[in-house]
Amino acid sequence: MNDPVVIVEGRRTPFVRSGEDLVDTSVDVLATSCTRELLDVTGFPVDDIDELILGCCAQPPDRANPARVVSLHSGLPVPVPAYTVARNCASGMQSVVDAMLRIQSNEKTAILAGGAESMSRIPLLYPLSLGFKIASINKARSLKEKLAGFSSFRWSDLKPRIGLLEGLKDPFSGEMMGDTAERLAREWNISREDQDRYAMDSHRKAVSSRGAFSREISPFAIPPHLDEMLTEDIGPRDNTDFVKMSRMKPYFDKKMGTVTVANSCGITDGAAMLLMMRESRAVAEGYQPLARMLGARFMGCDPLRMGLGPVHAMAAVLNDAGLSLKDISVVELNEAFAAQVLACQQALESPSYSKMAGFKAVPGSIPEDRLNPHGGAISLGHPVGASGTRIVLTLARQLHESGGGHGIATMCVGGGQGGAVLLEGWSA
Amino acid sequence: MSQFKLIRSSVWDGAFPTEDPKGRFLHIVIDAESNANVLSQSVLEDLKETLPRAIEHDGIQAVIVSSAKDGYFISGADLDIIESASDPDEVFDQCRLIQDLFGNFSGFPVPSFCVIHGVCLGGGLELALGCSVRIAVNDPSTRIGLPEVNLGIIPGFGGTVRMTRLLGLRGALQWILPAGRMPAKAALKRGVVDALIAPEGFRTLALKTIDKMLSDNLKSVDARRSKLRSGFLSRLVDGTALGRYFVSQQALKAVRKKTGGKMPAPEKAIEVASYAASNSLESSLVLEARQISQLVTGVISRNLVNIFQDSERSRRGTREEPKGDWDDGKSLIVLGAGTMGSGVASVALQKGIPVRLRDISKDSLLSGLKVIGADLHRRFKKRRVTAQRRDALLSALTYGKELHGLKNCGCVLEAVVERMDVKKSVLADIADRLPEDAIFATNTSALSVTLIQENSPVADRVVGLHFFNPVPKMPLVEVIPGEWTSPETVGKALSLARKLGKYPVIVKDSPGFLVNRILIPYMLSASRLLLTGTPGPLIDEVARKHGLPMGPFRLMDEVGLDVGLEVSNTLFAAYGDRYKASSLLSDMVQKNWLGKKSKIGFYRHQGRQMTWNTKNDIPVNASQLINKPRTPDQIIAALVDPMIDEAARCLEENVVQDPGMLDLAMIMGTGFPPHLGGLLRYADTQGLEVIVDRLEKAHGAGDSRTPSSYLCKLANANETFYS
Repeated sequence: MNDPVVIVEGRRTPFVRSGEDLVDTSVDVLATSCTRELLDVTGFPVDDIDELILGCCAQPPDRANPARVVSLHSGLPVPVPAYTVARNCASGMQSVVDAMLRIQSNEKTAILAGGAESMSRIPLLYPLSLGFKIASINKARSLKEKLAGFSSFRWSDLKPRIGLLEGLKDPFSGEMMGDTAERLAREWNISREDQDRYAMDSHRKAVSSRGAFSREISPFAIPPHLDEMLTEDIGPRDNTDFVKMSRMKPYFDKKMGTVTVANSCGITDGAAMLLMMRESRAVAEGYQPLARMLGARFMGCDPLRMGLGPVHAMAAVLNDAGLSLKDISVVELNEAFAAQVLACQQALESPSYSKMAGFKAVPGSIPEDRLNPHGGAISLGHPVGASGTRIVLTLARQLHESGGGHGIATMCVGGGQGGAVLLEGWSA
Repeated sequence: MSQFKLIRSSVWDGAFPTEDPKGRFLHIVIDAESNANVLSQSVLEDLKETLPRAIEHDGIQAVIVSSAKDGYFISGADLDIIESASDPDEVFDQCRLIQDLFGNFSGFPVPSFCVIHGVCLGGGLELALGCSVRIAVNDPSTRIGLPEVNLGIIPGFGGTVRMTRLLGLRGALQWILPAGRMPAKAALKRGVVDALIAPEGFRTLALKTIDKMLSDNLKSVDARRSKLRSGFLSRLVDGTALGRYFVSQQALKAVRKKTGGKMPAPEKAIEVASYAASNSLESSLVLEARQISQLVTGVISRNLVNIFQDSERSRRGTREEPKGDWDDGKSLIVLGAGTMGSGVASVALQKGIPVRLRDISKDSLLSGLKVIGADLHRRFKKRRVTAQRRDALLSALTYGKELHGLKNCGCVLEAVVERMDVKKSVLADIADRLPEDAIFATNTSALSVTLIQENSPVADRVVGLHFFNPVPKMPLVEVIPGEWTSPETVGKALSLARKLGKYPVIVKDSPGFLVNRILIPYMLSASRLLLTGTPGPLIDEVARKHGLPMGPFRLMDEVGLDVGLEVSNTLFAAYGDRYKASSLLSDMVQKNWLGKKSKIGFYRHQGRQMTWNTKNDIPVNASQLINKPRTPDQIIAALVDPMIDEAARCLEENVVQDPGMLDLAMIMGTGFPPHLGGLLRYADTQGLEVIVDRLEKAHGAGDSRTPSSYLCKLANANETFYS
């Protein structure tokens, strides 16, 4: 296309482990913070924004459309509409893709697209039976009916389910996401040691990229007291100890497993936001955009092997663009589990699997120096709805700083899908 | 033409619903000449003439009182009535008359309903209290209250008595003493209002509500009222003589603690209310009228009314002042997150202005954010803001080291260190990026705005905005136009200050501006008193008892001795010897005894406790001991006279527009006791000749200050500042 969609600029909050600093911060406050900062930094007039799209996986019960809350709190004018999208782990990527499609269809459109998740604040769920029983007592007219209502209570009615864990289950088999990673580890013969080593690398790369991240992170003072300022991600550890890591017990398959908390992504709170429009408009407004969006694809795969989703999505997006994996200088592959990333690498090398996934020739694994150069979700954390936007932003910034080249941001999606976005670094 | 319309519901063809062919209702519609339905003399006359005509109507089921104005029911009695009152007996008679007039509303053979839509204050509420039932429109414009005590009087048109009879002693005092304005919902909860209706189509809704109330002969209304007063505590304190005594004593104690016994009005209100709680309506009304007739003719009430009028002038603006509007969607960028910067940011945020706080140091930025967070959290804890509102306000705040967000800002306010080179470089940094409709405000207390703006390409949009510490509490803002500041910029600055809930006063760009220039002599003369042997704690005590919110030494500790010394040195450079600080101050600053921030100054500060710093050995000049002032009056005179002299100089040099604004500035900026009417009104009551005399004596005793020529001229001509 002559006038592609570009990512003008982006900002994100620091990513913070769930249940720590941001337990009192609702998801819209997180997202608003980086949106305001993005608007301040770019100076783009709020009246010219056409829509705000927010990816959010576990939308809070009191915010049926968090995007609208974010848009009004960010100072966007009342007529500017906003909607929330959900595609499980790729919600934040879906919003960016939605924005791209919208801008492609109308050259004047400018959109704020992002993602946000507060995994700290996913509520406990009580069984529906409790609600029905309470309702029946309220409806009861006689004492006898009331007593009957009370006597129908069972302890099981009061047993809450943890919303967070429910969200991380595969809806078809009831397996945890970690169990699907265990399956990949078994099938592709990925050792515990390889996984731990990969996780170590993720921390090492993230720690050495703190300076680079400071160019996409907007500082966040913790509400409501504003008494502490977060300026970098909490996840990356300066000194990871391989011995300690290898001593950790597997979390999902306690007896035979290899997937531990240390070689999986962290449960995290965070938000990210991008400003997107046509290249011609961005240049006319005097911006130096980060990257062009060349294409995006989502593909389904086996829910029990959802970790291989990126292989399918990358095949699709590369075929669309007529490129091969060798042409791609950076791949941001979301690190749900170390086992899952390594399985993708092996699947890319496997002639049978890569063919099945849609590659015309065996692409071969992604060279290590091109894969997640700034670390990934294992060290930074994976605030589900925000990660998709975060990897697109991190990728766009890297491509911009290296002055061009192609890059892919891709991620696996719970329920058996993969998503991939193809970018080209912007240069004048 | 009468300012009251009498309309049968069958013939109305205006805004009122007409589906009432039988004409069951009689509307009394208030449509006064003033926009705000002020109860002026002529309105009261018209009412006197209207009510008998209302009684003539036959076949009606109810009388409905309402206002024809949008946003106003009755905004209160005309202040001119208070100002013109001079003879207590005359006031007494008039109040009795109006009390009865309002009482007539409940004297109809049928019930009277008052529909309150918009502002309903003072006399307006007193009129409403005369009706049988009050129905309020649940709209933000509806504000209900009895603010009389703030003006040094009590509700005197029957309000004190009727409020007590309606709510009981405890409930009534909760309305009268704080003198606040309540939204409709709170008024309903506290029983002043009997029903709420939605604002859309409220006249139809009012009719429906009235119909419903009439259908059971107001039984439901009575039931609700008695339920509100049926709690155990209410019965204990309102229902027994002992309980009422206890309540009034407690209230009196609280009032005395707050006012230091300087304000008679709240005490009289308590007296009248507790009398009304156990005596007949007639005799209570007589007492009420007698008390207000004393208060309204007193000097305190006159002073408070005058100050109120000055403050309205500042808050609403005058026709002559430069025009300019603050654009509501625009943000405020605050540079420098120190005490002042974060204070302004916090206030702006709470008033709904998006704020970007910028500081180049991360630590300083964080401490500024902490102040904002603490402010907001405190308001949340006190339930002044809901969790949703708090989140929305927090969302409107951005911060960082970089200078971003200029495109959407309406004002850049710098509160960086008080150094000319720093301020100029900050301005230069921004100048080319400042949007065309934005202004640059500099929060300086000592530097010349003209010098700051000099040679800047945006000089016309630079203006001084001098806030006072602590910003959330001090209502004054000095607006200082420099030589090149455009009138529109001044207008915008005024508008912004008002949007922040502050009282702006335009001040000429001159050293110390207005308030500091007048306040520094207060501190200097205090240290002179100390050096001549008057004990410091005594000086502070005397000043506090006089009504000043803080004694001079506490004030200096609070402000910081280094800051005080620096300001006085600046003024010394500009005005000469009369601002010469004693060596005492500089010695203390050298010892790093800076006041509260260094935990030691004139006092030692341990947590909240303060004890006089006895280590501070004060060199007493033996030769001056002879002249040392001894009595409290002499101490006050020694503290205040130099301020009056300096104020006279400010007037002479046109630093401020008129004496009223100067008095307002001193009250809002330093907490000068409002019941004295401000510095200059206080001087006027003392007599200028006496003051000149005392100043000359002080000069003879070693003070370098001589009374200014303007002050002497007034004194010689036997004039006053206000004449």
